[in-house]
Amino acid sequence: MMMRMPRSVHITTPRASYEELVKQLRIPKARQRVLRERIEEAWKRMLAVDAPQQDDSTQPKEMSESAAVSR
Amino acid sequence: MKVPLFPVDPEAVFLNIPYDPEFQKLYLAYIVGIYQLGLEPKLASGLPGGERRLDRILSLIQGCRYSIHDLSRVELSVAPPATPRFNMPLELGLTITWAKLNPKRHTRFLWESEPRRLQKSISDLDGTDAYIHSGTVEGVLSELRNAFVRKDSPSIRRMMAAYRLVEGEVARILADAGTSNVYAASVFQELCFAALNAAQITSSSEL
Repeated sequence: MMMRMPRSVHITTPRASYEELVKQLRIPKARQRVLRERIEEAWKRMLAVDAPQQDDSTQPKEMSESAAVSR
Repeated sequence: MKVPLFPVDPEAVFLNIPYDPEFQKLYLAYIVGIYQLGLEPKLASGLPGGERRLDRILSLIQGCRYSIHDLSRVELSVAPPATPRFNMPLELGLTITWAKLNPKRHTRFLWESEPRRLQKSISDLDGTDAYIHSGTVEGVLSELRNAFVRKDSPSIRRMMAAYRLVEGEVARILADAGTSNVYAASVFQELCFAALNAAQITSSSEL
């Protein structure tokens, strides 16, 4: 049986601003600072971990066994 | 009967999902993905109980432009006595009625983990196609991109990076709130804030 695709909506309205969305959450400013700093630190850590992998990707790779065989 | 018209938040997405520990990852994926698509998740978990709870849930649905109904865990509860979970189908029923009466004010989406199961569990909905997330975070994020199409949609790689950022914060947010319930109202608010910041911080990357 063929599966049909569910319907989708195309959103063309501009995104709500960050400040507007934060305001809706009603989180005290001091707590916002703590949470924001944690996310920023986690992002820096993630970039640091990913960085060597990204550097690797720019290096020429050895051909995988299956790719070598297919040739 | 004349139903009063509530103002509709054009970015708000009502999340009709199971509040159980097994669903935690997908719950986070919904929050993260919805923010990354420039929308805003709304949850009924923070609403007080009692007879007026249903009225409040209906008001919440009426204030949202969209709703997502994840029926992937409509099953018998493990704890005795084994009981089917009716809250999600009940809220779906409310939404269907509201959307039927006000098609320009509300659009609903059905989510499942398995193809064709919906036709079996709620055969009256035959003809309504569900988004299938296959029970995975990537499945939820990818199907959100398909349901809410924008020109500036983030890549799945970027969405996954934001998800990982928020997932890494869950334990600390729970510890700070002194609870293990990720669906608690205050925890939901902070997860939303984390997701919003994760969406912002990853949007400037080249992912």
